[in-house]
Amino acid sequence: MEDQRIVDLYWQREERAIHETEKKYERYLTKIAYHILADAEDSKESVNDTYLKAWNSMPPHKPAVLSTYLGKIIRQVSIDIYRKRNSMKRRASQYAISLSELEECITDGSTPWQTVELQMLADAISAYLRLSSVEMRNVFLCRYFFMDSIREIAAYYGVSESKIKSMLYRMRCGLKEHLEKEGFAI
Amino acid sequence: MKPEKISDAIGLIDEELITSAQTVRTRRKKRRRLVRGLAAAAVSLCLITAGVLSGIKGPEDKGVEYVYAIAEAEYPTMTPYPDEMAFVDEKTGEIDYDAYLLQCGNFCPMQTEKTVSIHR
Repeated sequence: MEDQRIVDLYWQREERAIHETEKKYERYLTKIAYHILADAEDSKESVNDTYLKAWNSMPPHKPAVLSTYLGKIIRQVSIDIYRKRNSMKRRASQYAISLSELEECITDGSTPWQTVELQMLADAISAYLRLSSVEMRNVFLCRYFFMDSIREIAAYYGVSESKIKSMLYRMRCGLKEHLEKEGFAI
Repeated sequence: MKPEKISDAIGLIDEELITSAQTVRTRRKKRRRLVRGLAAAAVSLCLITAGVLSGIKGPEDKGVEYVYAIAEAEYPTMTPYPDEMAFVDEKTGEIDYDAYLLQCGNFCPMQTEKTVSIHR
């Protein structure tokens, strides 16, 4: 089914929207989640949370490219699960448990300023990526947005892994320089 | 700045950039599938061509091939040795070896040479 049609189903509040999303994007979403979580069970949970978030966010959102929109959601959801999982592992004391209970009393923990700062940083990274060549930019995003392995990226481009590593290294150095120039404290 | 913060910010970059990277990922996979398909087709074609050129056929054709091979085969016919008795002198009962060996030499030089060596 066409993406536009699926988005329309979300807007019409038809549950078939989730079914169609699952049919078309389950593999794609599971792959992103697995790259972040490295656990099949957690990945499944992340994919289900993504369907729920998509359901709750459409409307008001009407994404032009559904795959990108869902990719952004699952990336964030998976990172959240990863952080939660790791913090739970670290926290074994009653103090840690009490802290996690107190987390329920506050919001997501980010102040409006932090949110603005994060968006400014995202804009600066976007600007840097636009200055880079298309190939370098896509390699960077395959690695740091989709979390693809170096091996996978090398296979996408039909080049050696060492070449991809070298490209990523140059991109990271360039990004550091760009962010310093933009006034971010690295 | 923590790397987590940069990672979070990467999650917020322009969708257009992400879509571009996603397109490349999908296209590369499709291209890889196409290349694999073409390679498989090329290998199959090579095997078929090699089979045809070397005359290898299916099991059902083997009998026909065999009959064809027998029909076409040409075996050299052995030159008959001269009849030794034809060189026996009826009066004396002796064999005319010179004439016999000469006759052998006309038909079978190798044997003649051998015979000659024995004769020596």
